[in-house]
Amino acid sequence: MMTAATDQEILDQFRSGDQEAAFQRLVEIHGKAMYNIALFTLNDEILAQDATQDAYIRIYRGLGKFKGSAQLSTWMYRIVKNVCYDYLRKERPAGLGEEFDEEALADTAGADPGTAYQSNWRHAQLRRAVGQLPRKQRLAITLHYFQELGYEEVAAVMDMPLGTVKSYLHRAKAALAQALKQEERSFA
Amino acid sequence: MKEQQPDELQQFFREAQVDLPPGLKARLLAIPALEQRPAFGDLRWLLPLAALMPGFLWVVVHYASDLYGYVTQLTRGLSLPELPRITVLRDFTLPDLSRFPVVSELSLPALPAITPVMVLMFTAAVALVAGLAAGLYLWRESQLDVQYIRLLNRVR
Repeated sequence: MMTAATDQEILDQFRSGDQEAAFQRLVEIHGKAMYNIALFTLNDEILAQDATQDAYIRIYRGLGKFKGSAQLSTWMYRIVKNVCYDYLRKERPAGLGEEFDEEALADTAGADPGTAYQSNWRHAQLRRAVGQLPRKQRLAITLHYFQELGYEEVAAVMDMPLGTVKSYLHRAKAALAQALKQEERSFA
Repeated sequence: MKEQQPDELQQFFREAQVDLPPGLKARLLAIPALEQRPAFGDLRWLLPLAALMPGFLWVVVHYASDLYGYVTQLTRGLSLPELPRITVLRDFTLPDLSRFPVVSELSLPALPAITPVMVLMFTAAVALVAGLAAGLYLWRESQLDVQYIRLLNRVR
């Protein structure tokens, strides 16, 4: 997690003209989080990569004007959320994302085949379950559990009241538990 | 699976995180270089073209009347209607610069009278050069886009 001091350092570096190095730090620190948010929101690797790239382009263009009214990470996550929502509205055909689970299952290189399969199966299970959640619940749970953001930060990223976010998370957890239970039963 | 406690769910989520694909990272790190391109591209390559412009215009003006004659003969030979006569600027000539003492001391060569054909040829020449410059600019931009697309494709 980036501190306010790091935020300021990066902003100062960017504004002093060393934009490439500042941007590189943003990619190093937040790239993984940004990509995971996109991946679990869109449930498609190619779209998630494009969305992450689009989000970073917007970040690059907007960083000079960033006022610091929110944490830099909150601002960045909000951007990737908006890009993903745009993608879902405009580009996403129905049923997209099924190959994502298959690829996760197939990726067993370099590990004990049994353990790797079981681990990947669990991950695929989770991805499928998350993918079945409604869009806003999916984003809330991704930010809360994947990025380990607090309720307030999730609310800030999603631009929603705290109570609404708590309600989304509660419903998402219940739905996930239910979905995972069903998946496990069908696997057994 | 039992009803999961938040910690278990969190662990589950942590394990499911994926790393940033190296190809995507390369794409992201390329953004500053691509975004720092000047809004209108690097226009220095237009300088040689600009240097050629006066010479080109001189040739156009110098041979304008000859060219007009050739075109007129051609249209007559082909039995096409004659070129329309432009009368607005027909009688326009440059002011007599020798009346101004400073200019007369410079003993400038006599300038040709401006004829409608010259105006037309000048306009055509400017349009040609501008079109050429625009074409070259668009071609160069498309080359940059091709480079960017290649970069994107390489990592897919």
